[in-house]
This record gives sequence, C-alpha cells and structure tokens, in this order.
Amino acid sequence: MEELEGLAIFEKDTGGATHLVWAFPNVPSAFEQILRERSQINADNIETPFLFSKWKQWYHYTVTVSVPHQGFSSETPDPLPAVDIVSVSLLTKIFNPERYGCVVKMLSTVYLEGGRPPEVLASYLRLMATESCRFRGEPFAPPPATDQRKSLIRTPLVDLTGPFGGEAVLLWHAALTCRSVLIYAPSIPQLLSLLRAFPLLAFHRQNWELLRPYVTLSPTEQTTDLLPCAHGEAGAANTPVVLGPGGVLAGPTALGRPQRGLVAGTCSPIAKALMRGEGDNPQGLWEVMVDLETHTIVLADGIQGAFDGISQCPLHREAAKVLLQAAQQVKQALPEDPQSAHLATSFHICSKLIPLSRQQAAAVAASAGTEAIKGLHRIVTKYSFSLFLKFQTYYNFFDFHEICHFLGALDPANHPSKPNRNCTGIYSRSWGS
Amino acid sequence: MPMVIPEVKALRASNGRFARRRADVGLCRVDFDRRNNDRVLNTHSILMAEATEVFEKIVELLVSAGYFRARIPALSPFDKVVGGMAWCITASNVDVDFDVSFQENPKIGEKIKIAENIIEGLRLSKCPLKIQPSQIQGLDYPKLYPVIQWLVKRAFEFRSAEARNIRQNAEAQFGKCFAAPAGAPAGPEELGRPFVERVLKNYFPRRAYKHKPFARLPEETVHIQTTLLEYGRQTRLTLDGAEAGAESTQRAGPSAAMQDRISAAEGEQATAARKKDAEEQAQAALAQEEQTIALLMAGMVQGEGAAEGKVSTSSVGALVTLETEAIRRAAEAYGEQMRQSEAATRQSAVAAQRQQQELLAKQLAGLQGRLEQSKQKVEAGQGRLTAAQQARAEHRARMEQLTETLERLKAAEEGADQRIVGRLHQLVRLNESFREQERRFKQHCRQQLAAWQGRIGELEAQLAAGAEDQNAAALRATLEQETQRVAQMRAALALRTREAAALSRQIDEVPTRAELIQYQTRFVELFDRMATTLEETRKHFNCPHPGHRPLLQPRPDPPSLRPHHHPPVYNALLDRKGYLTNELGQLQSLQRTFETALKSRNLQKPLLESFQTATAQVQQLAGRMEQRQADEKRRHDALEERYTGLVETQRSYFKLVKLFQEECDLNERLSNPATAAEALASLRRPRRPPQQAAAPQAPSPAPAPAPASGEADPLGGGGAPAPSPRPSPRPASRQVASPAPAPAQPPAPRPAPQPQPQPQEAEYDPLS
Repeated sequence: MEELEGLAIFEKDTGGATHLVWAFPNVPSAFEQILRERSQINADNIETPFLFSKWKQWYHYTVTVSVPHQGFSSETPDPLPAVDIVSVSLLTKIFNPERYGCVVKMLSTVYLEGGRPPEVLASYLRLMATESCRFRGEPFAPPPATDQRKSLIRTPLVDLTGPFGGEAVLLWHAALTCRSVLIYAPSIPQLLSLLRAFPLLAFHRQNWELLRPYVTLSPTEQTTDLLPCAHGEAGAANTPVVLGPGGVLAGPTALGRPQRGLVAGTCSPIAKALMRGEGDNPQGLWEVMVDLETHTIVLADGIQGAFDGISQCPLHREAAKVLLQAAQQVKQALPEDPQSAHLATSFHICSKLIPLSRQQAAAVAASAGTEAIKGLHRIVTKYSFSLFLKFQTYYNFFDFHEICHFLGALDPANHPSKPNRNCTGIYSRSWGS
Repeated sequence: MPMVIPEVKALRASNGRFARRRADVGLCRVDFDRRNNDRVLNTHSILMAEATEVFEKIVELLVSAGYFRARIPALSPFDKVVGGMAWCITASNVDVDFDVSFQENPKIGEKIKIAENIIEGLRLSKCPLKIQPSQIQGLDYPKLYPVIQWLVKRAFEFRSAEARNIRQNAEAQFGKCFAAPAGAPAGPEELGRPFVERVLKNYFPRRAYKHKPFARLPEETVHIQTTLLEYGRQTRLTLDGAEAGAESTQRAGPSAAMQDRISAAEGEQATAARKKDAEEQAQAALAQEEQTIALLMAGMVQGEGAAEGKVSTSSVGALVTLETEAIRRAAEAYGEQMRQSEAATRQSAVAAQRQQQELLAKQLAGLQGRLEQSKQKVEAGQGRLTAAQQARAEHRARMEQLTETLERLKAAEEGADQRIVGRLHQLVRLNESFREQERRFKQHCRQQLAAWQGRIGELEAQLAAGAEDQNAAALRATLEQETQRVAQMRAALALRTREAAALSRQIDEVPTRAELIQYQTRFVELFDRMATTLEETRKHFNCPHPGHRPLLQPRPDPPSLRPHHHPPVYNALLDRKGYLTNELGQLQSLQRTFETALKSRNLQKPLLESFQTATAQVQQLAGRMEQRQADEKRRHDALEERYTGLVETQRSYFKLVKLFQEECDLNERLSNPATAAEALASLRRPRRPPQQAAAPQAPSPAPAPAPASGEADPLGGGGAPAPSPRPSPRPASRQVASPAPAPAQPPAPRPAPQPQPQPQEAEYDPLS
C-alpha cells in the first residue's frame, strides 16, 4: 500500500486545547490548519465520525470520535485519560473512501485502545509494506485498490439529480463546461454521499480529482487550493490520476495542460448566504451554487450568459429528458413490497439509534422490548450489505458490521464479559467489505 | 470579377538621409515616385458600397487618409479593412518585419494569421487600443473603428512630418546646386565659403609632376613613389615620427614650398598614424631617400595643374622649360608670399588640426576603452562557454555511464524471473520511500521538539512571572458569565415548566374517553340505584298498577293477566277513603233530602232528577275511568311491543359484536406468523356444533347458495356430513325462524336476503 502519504493525529484535551499530537512523516502547516478545521474536533458536536475531503492533491480520510472514559478499572487503565476527542486523518493521493476509510478506522481504533502512536505507526508501516496487518489478533486487509471503480460509482447519479427534476440539466452543463460548483447540504453524510456522484455527469473524463468533498470556506483554503483549482492554474490538483505500480501517475484522460473545474461541498451557512447573494465571491470563485436541502441551483452573476439558451438547445433538452426518465425509473423501482419496507424502517431505526449515547440507546432498547431489538438485529444481519447500501445510511455508521454489533450489544441477552471500551460508534471485530 | 491583389512590395529607402525601413505588408501596392519626392498611389476603380454604417465610416476614414483601395467595390470588407490597417501601419513608419502573402478568399486560419500580424504591427507602433484577432477576422467594426481612427491619425502625423522633412531635403538639394533666385540673403557662412573651399581644396591631391618615361619604371615601389611624387607626396619607406615643424627644416628638393606642403601634409599623417621613433635613424634614411627622390624628381616634369592633357610631355616640357628660371623665381616669390600668408592659415589650420587630433585621440581612447570592455566581456563569455561546455561534456559522460549501467542492469535482469525483478523493484522503491519518510519525519520531529520546548519555556517564564493571574482572572470572568447564563437558563426552564404544568393541568381537566365511559357507567349505576330505591319507596306508598312497571325489574312472563294481589298501599287507601267519604257524603245528603222529600211531593222530582243525574254522572265517571284504563292498557301494550323489539335488536347486536370479535381474533392469529398455522388448522377443522336454535339454520345456508344459483339441492338428501334435521326446506326453516324471536337468530324480518348474511356469519371460510 505504497500510496499512503501520511498520517496525522489531533487531540482535544480536557482543557479544551487542540493539538496536532503526532504526524508521520510530516504535514505541511497550512494543511495542518485545514485538517484541524475540517475534522470537527472543535465543533460543538461531532456530526459524523467519518468524513473525507481533499486539499490540493491530498485526500484526507478523517475519523473523529470522542474518547470514552467509563468502563475502566485499575487492571485496565484508561489509555487516554486527559483527552476528550481524537481525530485521526490518513492522507493519500487517491480517491477511494471505502478502502482508506477502512484503514483509517482501523488505525483510529488502534490508537484509542492503545493510546500510543508507535502502535499506530507499526500498523501503518506494515500496511505500507504489505497490504495487510494484524488488528486485534486477526489479520486485517483493506478492500483492494482494484475496487476503485466500485467506489467511483458508489452513489448512483440519480440520487443527486433526481430531486432536481428538470433543473438537473444545469448540473450536467456545469459539469461539462468545467464550472466551479459549490454544493451545500445540511448534513455531512448526505453531502459526502451525494457529492461523489457529481463527476458521473462527465464520466468520459474519469476525473474525481476536481472534487473537494468537504470544505469549510476558510481564506486559507480559498487562496491555496480553491482559487487555483477553479481558475485552472498549473499545479492545481484537478487533473485525473491513477495509481500505477510506481506511484500516482496522470490518468489516461488527463490533458497535458492545466484544466479548470472544481466541485466543492460545504455545510456552512456561508454557502447559504452566497446563494442569497450576500457573501463575497472572491474573484468569481463560485460559478454555480447548488442547494441539496431545497433542491435549488443558483448561478453567479457573470455566468448566467453561459447558461442562456439551454432550454432551447435540443441536446440539453434530450439530456434533461434522460435524467428525468432515469429518476422516474428509480422511483418506480424502489421497493414497495413489505419486506423492503421492513428493511427501510429497520435501517431508519438504526440510523436514529446510533447517534444516541449508550445509555440512551439502552433506554430505548429497554422500552422497545427485547423482541423488537432481536427482530431488528435479525433483519439487519440477514440482509446483504449491498442491499443495505441502498438506504444511504452508510456515512452514519462505521461499517455495516457496526450496526450488527450495536444491535447485538443492545440486546440485553448479549452482555459483554469484559468492559466495553467502545465509543459512540461500535467497532466490528473483523474488517473488510 | 474580383481584383487580384498583388503580392508583397517593399518600400525602399529613398536616400541615405531619409531612411525608411522595409515594411513588407503585402496588401497594398505602393509605388514611390522618386522624381516628385512624393508618394503617389495607384488607385483603382471605385469601390462598392457596403452595408453597415460603421463600415462606411471606416471606409471614409481610410479614404480620407489616402487609402483609396477601400473604395474598390469588388473587394471584400475584410480585404479593405485589413488592407487599410496595414496601409496605415506602413504609412506610420513602423519597423514591421514579416511576410504575409495574401490570397483572395482567405480561410479563417489565414485570416487569423493576417490579423495576428496586424496586431503585431499595432503593438510595435505602440497603439494604446487593444483588439483581438478574432475581432479583425470577424470584422467587428465598432471595435475596429477606434483603432483605425488612431492609425489614420498617426498616418497623417507621420505624413506631415515626412512632408516637412522632404521639403527641407528638397530645399537643401536645391541649395546645393543653385542659388535661390531672389532675395536669398547670403548668410554669414557665405562669406567664409570661398575660404572654406580653399581650405578643403587644399588637401585634395593635386598632381604636380609628371613622370616622363612613364612606361619604363623599374619596380612597383618606385612606380608608387613616382606616382605619389607626381601628386606631390613624398613617400618615405622609413617611418618618420617627426613633427611637421621639425620636418620643415630637413627639406631637400627643388621646390621648398612643395616640400613644405608635402612634409606638412605628411607630417599630419605621420602624427596621426605612426609612433615616434629615433630621429637619427630617420635622418639617415631620410638622406638616402632624398637622393632617390631627387633622382626621380629629376625625371619628372614640373607643372601646376593636374590636368593630364593629350599634349606630349616633351613639347610641354620644352614650352615650360623655356622660362623655367623666371618661372621658378616667380614661383619662389609667390611661394614666399603664399608661405607667409599660409603660415598664418597654417597655424590656424595646424591648431584646428591639433584640435581635431585631440578629438580623435579622445575618441580613440573611448573606443579603446570600449574595446577593452568588450574584450573582457568576450573573455568572460568565453570562460563561461568553456565552463558550460565542460559541464555539458561531463554530463554527457555521466549520462552515457548511466545509460550503460542501465543497459547492463537491464540485460542482467532479462535473464532473471520477471516477477522477482518486479518485486525487487517494488521493494527497492518501498525502501527508498521509507528512508525518505524517515528522514522527513525526523526533521519534522526535531522541528516540533524545538517548537514545543520553546513553548514550554514560554509557559514556564509566564508561570514564573506570575502571569497566571491573568489566566485565572479570565477563567473567573468566564465562570461568572457561565454561571449567569446557567441561572438565566434555569429561570427560563422554570418558566417553561410552569407553563407546561399549567397546560397539562388544563389538558387533564378534559376527560378522556376512558374516563367518560367510567363516568357514564358510574352515572348509570347511580341512576340504577336511585331508581331501585325510588321504586322500593314507591311501592310502599303507591299502588303497583299493571301498566306501571319499574324499569329495571326483570322482564316478567309473557303478558298474561296474572292475579296481582297487592296489599293496599297508602295512596290507594287514601283514594279509597276519598271515595268512601264521597259516598258517605252522598248518602248523607241523600238521607237528608230523602226524608224531607218524603214529606213534600214537590221535592221528589228534583230529588229523583238529582239522583238520576248523580247516577249518570257516576256512570259517566266510571265509563271515563274505564276508557282511560283501556287507553293505558293499549299504550302499555304498544310500548311493550316496542320494548321487546328493541331488546331483540340489542341482543342481536351483542351477538354480532361477539362474532366480529371472534373474527378479529382469528385475523390476528392468521396475520401473526407464529400462530398462523394453528389458526388455519383451526379453521379447517369442523366448527363447533352450532346451537340448537341455530341448528335448523346452520345447515341450510350451505345448500342455500346452491338453490339460490338455481341448482338443485345437491346436498338435499345426500350423505353430506351435515346434521340430520337439514332437509327441512327453507320456508319451513323460515317458519321456524320467524315466530321465534330467538336471540340467536339474525333479525327476523329478512326473508329474501337470508342466504347472504348467513354465510358471512355462520360458515365463513377465509380461504375461499
């Protein structure tokens, strides 16, 4: 796994101060600042444990969890006694959230259980040299790199374009004309899952490198990464790359010259203000602004001319028709039969349960009754991962197995014998897709 | 037919003074008429008018500037515009150096190329307005118009300047050969003109002698020497650095004046060109030379004037040597005079010459300095060049080495297993990347360590300096703030809870359905109790009338008149007492009146009548009472019937509810997957034997649909597993059903739709 570029661990201690505790080999200082902002470590609440984003040519896959302090005794001391929140980020140049997300979750678990970076470093180096390592006594191997195509098409395009109806053709036009697009969503998991489908609109370019999945719109980000990317300066990392045997190479669809284009996602209210026309749009950075909450698309002032006449162009009308039809088909194909309705309800319940703290979840389980939880557990374990993926609860969970484990843990019949050192998210025993 | 535009024509320089550079813009044909010193264009025929206003304006502008090709109608607008611009560029004397060959109907690419060249020309002519090639190619007239305006303006300016220059040139040229005819005043330079001309002419080579035996000169140097001597120049093969003044003392030869002149002329040359040498050497050589010269001179014929006439030298020499002595004397005298006069001029000339020498010396020094500098630069450049070449050679060598090693390694690799080789590559890469990472990590760690130690030092210093008060004060302030906030929040929370409590109290006041039902049952209970008590008490004082039954007593036997013997009750006794007193009163009155009536006959009739009326009244009263009783009875009967009907409906309702409940339970059991099987099994089992009252009804619904559909009764007499009293036909069952208001039956008055509701209730097969 030679393409791993680095690892960074941030901690927020009980005094409220945040530090970059450890980084291997090193992290540029501007990037450190940006990682800190994006990792929600200073936010009031951690919205999602796992997120990924990009700065210049480095993708970072970040896991942020709050450290539990109960369940320890004199025999099993607390590994991180003075720490409230830990954020572990893995840096690579390749986009594959499934693979690297798996790895970073494993590394974060190692750190949380051990409390010492050298253990994390050992796993990291072993992963780099050979594509596997040992985790909790068992061999651990992340999903292979050849599955990158699966990760590219993980979210179907109609999930992004469906709710827009006919306006989806504006998104298509924006993708083809390499515009800089800002996408707002109210929650990070929704944003990440929908934004990664955007390059499917220009699939012939095979370019996922123009994505900046989660951006906090800080000035540093804008000057160092977003503006060069949008203006197509040389060195802005928005040309496609692939992972070759010698490292990261330019992809087959890369033009020899710098190209423009940028798709960034954010959950900050600055984006809402920009869409209303209130914020400042430095140097015409954002040309198209998309709101996934209200399903509206707003064009910047100077760009409306480029989008004129779309409704008259027969090519665009055809594209709009295709997108609408696809959305209709998907809607019809969504299951109406009671089994899938059961599934949907079950996963919906799971997604509501997971963010609760353990005590609250236990209370809910107690009130719902053992039968209900058992039934839920049975349903979730019975149905396959691929079916589970349809319900888009991925980003609220670490892993599918997490839900199973969670439900199993909720079931009062399965009480763990040793103190449960798990965090608000539960870590499964075996990792793998 | 469109005009074919000729190819490139160059503007040549007219003369050295007014140099125009070459401008090759091959769009317009320009002929330079040098005779008139003015530019004349070959115009063509009139242009066609074009569509747009701006284009018209552009065309007018170009035409006013002098580009008359714009008026040619057959040319394309692109041609005119671009030609006009190019012409203006040439007209403004810009050094533009490119070739553009123009063909008719250029393609877009060619147009763009031409446009780019035009823009280059504009840039070189420092045009402040910027345009794009696409604008020219696309003939964006509004954008091109200001540019063309500027160009035309510049062309005009340049042309006026040129005109001025040419006029001056013309005047100068004229003034060279001719004088102005009238009124041209001789300026101060005119007065000195002859003198200046003389001075200048002084230095023209003049042939003084002519060598007689012209063809018989032995060798070249001698030839040269003689030729030069003819012109009065003595050449000395030895270098002579003597000054003009010093020279003048060593003259030897026939004409001292000549020698003077020669030496003067030579002296300046010598000082200008040669170095100074030892004078003795020069003197010796000089003497020798003089001898040779004297010899040569002897062979020459003296004569002023350089005109080489066709007159034979001998005749001329004869003529001239006729009076050579006189001539010589006169020439000497003249020479003396000239010398005297020229001494002065020579002095000044010498001074002037000296000044010029000094000037030239300075120039020489400057040039030599520059020479030195350029030499240094050259050396430096040379040094760099050599260094670069060396480096290049080194790199080349190294590269060759590397390629060689690479090939060797590749050759070595060829033999080995490719997988292993690949793996080795990977491992080597990995190793190197690990080393690099380690290095970077160490560096980073050191930096961080330094930073952290610095921070620790700072904090310790702060601690030592007691700056923690600041921190503590800040913390205290935040604590106070937070506690205030907490108090506010608590107050708000309390308010909210109070509101919530009030609302919940209000909500609780509204009774729910369960409570209402409970109230209702309680009320009903109370009412019942009160009613029973009332009835009880009523019984005590009231006479229980047959039509007057308390409500909640159980329904008695069918309304057959039973003898009711009740003890007399208070009200009845009271009534009886009333009646008896009435009767008693009547009888007493009767008795009284009867005794008096017996005595007198007048009173008997009224007495009889009163008796009759009394009896009639009493009978009437009795009749009315009986009528009332009959009415009451009737009413009672009617109510009784209604009551029975309602009770029957209530009973049937309860029955239906019970059945419905059963069916719901069945449904629940069926929908619940755990118990579904048993429920289905229970269904398929034969039902519990129906009740006796329903027995005649239950089997009949089975054949009932069949006869309803018109079939014969298949199970009429067959061995169907139905109970035996089945074959009773429907009317019989109906008869059995209708008079019996058995509560187990559905409501009685429903003869026709009987088959339908029964399957729903009795034999419902959920699987059908």
